Amino acid sequence: MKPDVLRRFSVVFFWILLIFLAGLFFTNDFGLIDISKSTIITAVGIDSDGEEVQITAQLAVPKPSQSGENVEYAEVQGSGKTIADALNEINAKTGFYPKLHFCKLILLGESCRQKNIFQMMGCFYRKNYSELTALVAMCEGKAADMLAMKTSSSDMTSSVIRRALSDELKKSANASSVDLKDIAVDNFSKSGACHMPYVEANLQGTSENGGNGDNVGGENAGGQGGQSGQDGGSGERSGSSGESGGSGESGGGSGESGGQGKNEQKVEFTARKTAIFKDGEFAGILDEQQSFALDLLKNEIRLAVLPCDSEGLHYTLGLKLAGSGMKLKIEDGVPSLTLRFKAFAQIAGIRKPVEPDETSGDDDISPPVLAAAEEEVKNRFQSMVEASVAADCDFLGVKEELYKYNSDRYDELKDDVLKKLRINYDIQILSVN
Amino acid sequence: MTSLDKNVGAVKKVLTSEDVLVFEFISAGGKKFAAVYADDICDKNMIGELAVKPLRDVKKGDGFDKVRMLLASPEFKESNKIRDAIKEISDGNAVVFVDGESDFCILGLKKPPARAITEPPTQIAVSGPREGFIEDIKTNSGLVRKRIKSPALQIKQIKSGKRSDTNIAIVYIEGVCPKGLPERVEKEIAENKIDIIPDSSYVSSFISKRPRSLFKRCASAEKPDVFCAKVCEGRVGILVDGSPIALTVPYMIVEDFQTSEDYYTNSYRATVLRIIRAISVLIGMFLPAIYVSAQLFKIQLIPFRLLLKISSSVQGIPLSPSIEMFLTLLVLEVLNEASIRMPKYVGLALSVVGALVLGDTAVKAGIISTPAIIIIAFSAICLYTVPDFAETTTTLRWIFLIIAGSIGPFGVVVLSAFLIGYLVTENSYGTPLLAPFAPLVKGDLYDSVVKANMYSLKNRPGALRVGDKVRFKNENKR
Amino acid sequence: MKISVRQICFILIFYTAASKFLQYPPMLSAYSGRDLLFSALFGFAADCAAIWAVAFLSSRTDKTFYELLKDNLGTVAARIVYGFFAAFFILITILPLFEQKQFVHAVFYDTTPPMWVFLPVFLFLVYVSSKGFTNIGRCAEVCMPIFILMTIALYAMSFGEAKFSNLLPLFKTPLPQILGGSLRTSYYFAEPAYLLMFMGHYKYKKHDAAKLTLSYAAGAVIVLVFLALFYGIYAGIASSRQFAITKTALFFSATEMVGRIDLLALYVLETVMLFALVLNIQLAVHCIKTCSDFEYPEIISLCVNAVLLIILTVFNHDYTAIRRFYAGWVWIAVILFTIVIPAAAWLLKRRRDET
Repeated sequence: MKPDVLRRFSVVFFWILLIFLAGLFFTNDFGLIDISKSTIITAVGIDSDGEEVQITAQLAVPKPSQSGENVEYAEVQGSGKTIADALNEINAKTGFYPKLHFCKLILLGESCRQKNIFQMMGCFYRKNYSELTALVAMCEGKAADMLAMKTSSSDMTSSVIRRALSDELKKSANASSVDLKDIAVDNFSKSGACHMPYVEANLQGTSENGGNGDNVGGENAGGQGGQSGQDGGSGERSGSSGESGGSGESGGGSGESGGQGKNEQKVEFTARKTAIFKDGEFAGILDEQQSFALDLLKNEIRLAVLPCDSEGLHYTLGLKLAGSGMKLKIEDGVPSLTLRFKAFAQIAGIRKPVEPDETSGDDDISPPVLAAAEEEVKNRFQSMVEASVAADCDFLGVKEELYKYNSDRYDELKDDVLKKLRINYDIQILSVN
Repeated sequence: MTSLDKNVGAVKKVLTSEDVLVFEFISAGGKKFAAVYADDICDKNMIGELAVKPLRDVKKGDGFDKVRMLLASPEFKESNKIRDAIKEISDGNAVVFVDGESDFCILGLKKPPARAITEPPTQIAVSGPREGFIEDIKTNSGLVRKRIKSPALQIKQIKSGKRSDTNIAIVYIEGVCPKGLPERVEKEIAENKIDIIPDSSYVSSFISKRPRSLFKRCASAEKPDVFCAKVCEGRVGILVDGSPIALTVPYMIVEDFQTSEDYYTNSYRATVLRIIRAISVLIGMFLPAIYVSAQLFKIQLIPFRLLLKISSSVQGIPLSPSIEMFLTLLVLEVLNEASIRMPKYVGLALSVVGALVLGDTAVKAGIISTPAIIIIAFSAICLYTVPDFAETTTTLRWIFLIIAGSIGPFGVVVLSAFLIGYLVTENSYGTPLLAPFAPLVKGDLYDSVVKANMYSLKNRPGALRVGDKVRFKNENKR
Repeated sequence: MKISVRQICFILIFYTAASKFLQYPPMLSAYSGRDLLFSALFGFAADCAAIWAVAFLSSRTDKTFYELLKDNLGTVAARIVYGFFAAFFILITILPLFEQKQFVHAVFYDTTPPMWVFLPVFLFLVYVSSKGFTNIGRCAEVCMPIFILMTIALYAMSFGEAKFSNLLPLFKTPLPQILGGSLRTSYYFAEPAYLLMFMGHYKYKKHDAAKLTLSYAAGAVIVLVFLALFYGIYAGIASSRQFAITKTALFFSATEMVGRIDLLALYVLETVMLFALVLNIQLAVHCIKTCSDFEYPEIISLCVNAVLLIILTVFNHDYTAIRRFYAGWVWIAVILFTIVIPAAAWLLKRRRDET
């Protein structure tokens, strides 16, 4: 039973509360940042300039319109000791509070190779500052320049870059896209290594990196064992153009590419290479074949395109993953890593004139072609592992595997497991029919 | 002065109004009579048929017994108290005074003006009966009787209203209705002394334990089929003279989500419709609040592409998101109120003014954004999927909007939790408002959000604690 | 009877889980790392035993715990024990209340709002905690569908991202550290004490002890699955991910298209978390009402919540210190009130009433 005084008090309290709420409702000023006071950052480019961090934020600036979306995109720059400082500068410059909740892309410029990436991006991991779903990639040249490039589509640059890192491309082994969470989880695992896609800009109409699988195959023999070490920015850039030159078809593009030149012409983006990091420090770049192998191993591939040569003909096979993974065993005190890949293949193209009768047999692939494809995959795996060993960067997660499944031997083997590693390949490529 | 003049004089002394008429006639035998009745609500022709004609043969010396024998009215009462005569005349019946007798006869010739039975405007059904209650309690009782011919059906007549003396019928089925419930209802109605009861909503307040509550405590029915179904489930029905809306108690909120058509269509379809209704009510109540709190406090709630569209729309709007939504909702409520009250021919013009002038022009002028209008319009449509509950939900929408604009999404969550905490302990005549969900009554769940087929609804609602639990037996054991 | 066994089962399933969705997983990750499931299991196993003990005790008597204490130790002692229980329930409300405040500020608002934004919760707490056991039971019933729907939605959105092998190797963490993790997070475990308060207020039927214990085990399974999901997603960085339930579903691919639907699910789930929180205060009010014979629960509720409000205001910026204090010391009280006293209750003489 409610005492009378309480009943009366609750009625009075109710009215006071209502008046208070109405006051709040109509004055509507809570010192909070609402939709009209904030800018929506869709992508962030990070460049390091000595001790300072330079941030280029790509903003979506909505314009008044009653008939639908009317948005302009702009790049705003800010700098400071930390990213938060730089964002604060953007706030001061624009008068809008920059919100990172819709930031779906973080692009690290080449200059970030000199710094620990978790020092650079620390702010993204702070409590509720942003979500860990943003894609992370490293780019050639300055991130600011890349975000300012003009693309062939009308979309903002960051959207086009994100498309190059999309899930669809990931599932076709054309990009090993990762988000903030993935790189942190990998880096803070026992392996202490992570990787992210390396984005390159190609002039529209040219294809620096070959453009499709057929050309990638041609480059295979020249595949590098990863650019380990702490190369300077310019050194890396020349390195990547050298690789591109290996493709033999678009060598011209890369040399002139980058920076200012591309700003004026329309470009396309690819992310077929992968930057690797050890304990947050840059450790090299995997070429396209190595990246392809990494994608096959780590991602759920729906349809990857694999070129191979057999019986004097060049084949392009479409691969559908049936199973992949790696297993670490300790055999006679030696760590033995089995890289397993099983896929169903279908002929996507043969470099010879098409004969109508033959196309019906695309699902039946002859054993020599399958063997050549297996060999091709094996070579790529091998190249990838070699890159890992050469850079002493466990981006495959071997140490983590060792800890998970052979934890008793972890302390004993953890320091030189990569060097002692014995690799087995279990590669099966089967014809669809 | 004869006794006849004395009686008529006594009546006329109280009923001074000119529409209370006195019709004096003399039988062939010379006996004097006077019929007193209220014009307009009494069937004058029947006075001739049922009183004047039969009494033609009365002789001067015949006593009251002879008169009583000759009057063949199906509704016949006798009394000798002038008070009763006044009451009956006011009620529309005719009183026949006999010269030389202190006793008089009351003939049930009430015939108040009434409209024809039509389909109620707020409970239109595509399938199922289309009859609706009207303002005449007799007709309404008849509609009930027509459907429930059981001898256990009880229609208890009471009166309420100090001046209106309104007839109220308490309808229930003996043996099915929980014991003591009709008496409780009667007592609670009787406890309220009010001048006039123009509508059943007054009675609804009388029988609510918490009349100040936002949530009602009794259900309403405009259709006799719905009313009878509820009475057969064990509820007590209340018919009020002068009101086409009947009441039933105990009430559970889930009742408002059930329509008569649910029982006349396929149970799967009915279930889908009920789920849609429930979702619609939630959307209708919360959408404006969520929209405002998303804009003010948590823009992440809005998908990126939509956010860009909304941002474009709200750029340049001179009002803050909360005030913009408040004004849009206010316009809706004003239009709604005006469209109900205005004559139909003005209503059309009002729609044009409302939709075109206020809506389109306000958007074009950049005063209100397009999303705000879409949200309010959708919310309004959603709430009227459950019209019986709309009274509560439209009020709650205002409250949620104010909370969302002042405290944000957390305020909305706290208020929702508060409402749950409040509703779980509220009841209507011992039946919890949130039954069959809290407390969970397993059997009743088959007729809640889900509408099971007839064979699964063998028992009456357990939450009502009825006397006879079984309502359906199938001999084929389906 | 004021509350039914089914309603208590719902409390044991849904409130048990809902109260452990925020800071329990990251804290357990910090203490026990990959073996967080074992830490949690220890806590749940101990409480399962305690719950079974209390439920089984209910089968031997129809009396409330207070009546048992009064019969055995006298009125004064019974009042003292209930007074301590009230203090215990208030104690285990404080940190979750702080967590709720932090959670609300972080998840309901894009930019940190003023502190008063959280205060309306006290209106809810004052109102609901003044209600009795009937209200507690029915609220749990309303929470049941909300919890089931929202948890299924959130779990389903999280599953694709989880890599359960992150929990390997098992038992690599030293046992003392695993047990330490259990103890340091033990203030999330007060369910046996709830049951002790419900004793005598529900009608015990055959097998109810098993039902109640299994319900608690079901709640434990929900939490364990969530812990596995959470650690499966975040692995080595799990300990830094505050308010775990808000962090697992955001990787769901559809959120890009339809927005943060996981947040909407969370907001709905927050109502269950609020009811789980208010249960402690309701029981504190019940204890004070019982031991003081004061007939106005509204006033008791007002006072208890005033105390909580003062604590919240005074220590507004000391969340970390409070958390440290709770991790360091409160386990002693938790063990006393949820394990020792329920076990000791068996020593009280009892007689089942013939009703």
